[in-house]
Amino acid sequence: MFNANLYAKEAGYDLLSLWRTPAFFLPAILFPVTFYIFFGIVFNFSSGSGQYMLVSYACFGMMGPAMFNYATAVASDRAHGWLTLKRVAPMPLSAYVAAKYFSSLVFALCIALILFVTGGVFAGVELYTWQWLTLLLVLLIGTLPFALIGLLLGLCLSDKGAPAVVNLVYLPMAFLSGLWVPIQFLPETVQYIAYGLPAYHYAQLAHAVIGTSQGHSIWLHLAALVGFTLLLTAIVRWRYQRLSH
Amino acid sequence: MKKILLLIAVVSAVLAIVLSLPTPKPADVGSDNSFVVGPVNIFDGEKWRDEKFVVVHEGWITELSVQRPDLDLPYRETQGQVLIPGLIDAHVHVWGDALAQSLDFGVTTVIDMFGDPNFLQQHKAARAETQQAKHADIFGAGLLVTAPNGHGTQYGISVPTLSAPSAAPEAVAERLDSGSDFIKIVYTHADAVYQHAPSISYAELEATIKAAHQAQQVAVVHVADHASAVDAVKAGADGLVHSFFDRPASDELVQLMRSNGTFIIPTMALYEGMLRGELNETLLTAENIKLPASAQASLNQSFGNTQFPTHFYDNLLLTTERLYQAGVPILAGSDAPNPSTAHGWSLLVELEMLQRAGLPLEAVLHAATAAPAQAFALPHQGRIAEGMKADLLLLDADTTTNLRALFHPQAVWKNGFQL
Repeated sequence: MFNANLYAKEAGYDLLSLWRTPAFFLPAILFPVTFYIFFGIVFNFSSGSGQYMLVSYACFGMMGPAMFNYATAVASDRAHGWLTLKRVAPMPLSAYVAAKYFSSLVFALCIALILFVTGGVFAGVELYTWQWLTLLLVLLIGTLPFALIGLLLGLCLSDKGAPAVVNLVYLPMAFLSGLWVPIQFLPETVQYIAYGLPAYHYAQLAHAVIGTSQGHSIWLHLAALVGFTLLLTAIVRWRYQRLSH
Repeated sequence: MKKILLLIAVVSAVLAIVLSLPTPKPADVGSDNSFVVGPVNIFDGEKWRDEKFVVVHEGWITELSVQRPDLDLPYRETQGQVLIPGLIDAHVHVWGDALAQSLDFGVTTVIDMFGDPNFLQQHKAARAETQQAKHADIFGAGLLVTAPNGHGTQYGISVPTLSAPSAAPEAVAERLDSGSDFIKIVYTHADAVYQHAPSISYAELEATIKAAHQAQQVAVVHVADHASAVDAVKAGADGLVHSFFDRPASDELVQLMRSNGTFIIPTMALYEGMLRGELNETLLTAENIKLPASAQASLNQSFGNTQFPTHFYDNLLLTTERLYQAGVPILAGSDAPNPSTAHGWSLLVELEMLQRAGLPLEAVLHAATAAPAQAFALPHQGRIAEGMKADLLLLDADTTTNLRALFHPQAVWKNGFQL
C-alpha cells in the first residue's frame, strides 16, 4: 500500500529537523564551497581550466553531504532508539529512507547552486544553459550510490564513529577519483584504483557534460554506477535484516 | 495547495538561478572578422612582400594587394608597422588552459608532441573554422610510440608500448585511429652515455617510421643525444623534436639531414633552462614583463641541481648554426610546460635562442611560421596568403631589425577576430 501523503510528511519533517540544526547544515554546505574557492580558484596549481575545476569540485561537494547526512543521521537515530521507534510504527520504513534521501537532495541542490554561482562569478566559468541544467541533474541523481554508502555506514557504526569513518571513505575516494587534482596527473596505478570507485564514474559522467571526460563510454560509467547502487542496496538490505534479529 | 505553491516557487527559483548563470557569448557571424588592414610591411612566413594591404573575409585571408582595395569592409588603418602570421609553437604538451595561455603571447597554433588523445579530438574541429576563439589551434601526436617503461610512460597517461618491430604497423594504426595527426617516436641509442629510460630498438624505430610513411604520415623522433639523432635520421625520420648537446653535430649527421631533408626542432629554450637557467630572468627584466602566477611557477621549476660542463651550451648553439648553414629546416618549439618553460612565453625565448645561434631575423620568423606549417602540412596556418586563416600579429615597425618587438605585439588576430 503506497501512501504518498505519508512520504511527503516524513520528508517534510525530516527537512524541518535539519533546518533546526544549523550547526550541522551550515558547515556541511560551506565546506565544499570553501574548498572549491581555495583549491579550485585561488590556489589552482594544476592549471586545470575553470570549467574543469568547477565540475570536479561540484562532484566533490555533492557526494559528501549525501554520505554525511545519511551516516550521521541514521547512526544517531539508532543510538537514540529513534530508529527502533520508527520500525515499530505503522509507517513503512522506506518512507524514512526516502525522506532522508530527499533532504540530501535539497542539501546537494543548495551546494550545487552556490558552487555554480561562485564559479560563474569568480572563476569566469561559462557553460551553455543545457550544460548547466544537465550538469545539475547528473550531479543530483548521481548522489544515490553515495547516499547508500552513507546509509550502510550509518547502519554499521556508532553515532560517534560515523562522521570519522565517513571522512576516511570520502576524502581518499575523492582524491583517488581525481576530484582534487585532475586524474591524468596522478600515477597510473591510481587510474586502476579509480575504475573501482563510484566517485570516479560519477565525476566522469559530469565531465562528459562539458566534454572533459577521459573519453570512456558514458554507458560504461552509467553501468558502473547502477552496479554500485544495486550492490549497495543488497548490502544495506542484508545489514538491515541482521539488525532486526 | 500551499505546498504545491511552495514547490513551484522553489523550482522556479532554482531555474531562475541556473538560467542566469554565465553562458559563452554566441559566436559572432560575419562582419567582425572581415576587414582590410594596411599599410603594413608584410612578412608572409617566407619573405617580405611588396603588397601592403591584407583583405580578411570572415576570418580567411582572401587577398594581398599593393593598393588599398576598394571594398565595402571595415578598414583598419596602420602606419607601416609589421604584419606576420600568428606564431606556431612546434613542440608543446597542452592541457587545461594551455591553448588560451599560448594565445596571450601571439602563439595562434601549437603542435602537441604527446598528450591526451581526447583533448586533441575535442579541439580538432576548431582548426578549420574561423569562429571567435580564445585559444590556439592544436595539431598533435596524441600518444607517442615508446618501449615498455620507456620515456613517455612516466606521466600518468597510459601508453600502449612497442616491443617488437612486427607490432609497429598496428601501433601506428592505433594512434591514427585515436586521432593522431602524425607519429611521434621516442628513441635512445643503446650506448647513450647519459642515464635514460628503456628504449625501443633500432629495428623497431625503423619499422615504426616505415609504417608511418606507408600510412602517408609524418614520423618524428624524440632524441636527446648525438648517437640517437644519427640513428633516427638513418632510420628515415622526417624530423627530430629535440636537439642535443653532448657534442656538436658531426659532418656526417649534417650531410645526412641535408640529403634526407630532415627537419629539427632544437628546443634550445628548454636546454638553456637545464644548462644555464639565465635567459628567462634576463628577458623578463629587459622586456619588463610580468607573467601570470602559474606561468611563473612553471618557469621557476628546475631539472635539479646537476652541473653541466659549460661547453654543452656552446655545442647546442653550434649544432643549430651548422644545421641552418647546411639548409636543414629549423622549427621553433618550446617543449612547454616542462621545467623552466611556460606556454607562449617560451616560444619567444626560443626565438631569442635561434638568433643567438646565428639565424638571421627572417629565418627566425620562418622557423615559427611557415617552416612548421610546411613540415607538418598544416592546411590553413602559418602563412599570410590567400586561403589561410587570419591568424595575424601586428608588430612595431622596427621588427624588420629587432625581434624583441614580438614581446609587445600591438594587435593579435585569431580567426580574424582581434583579441
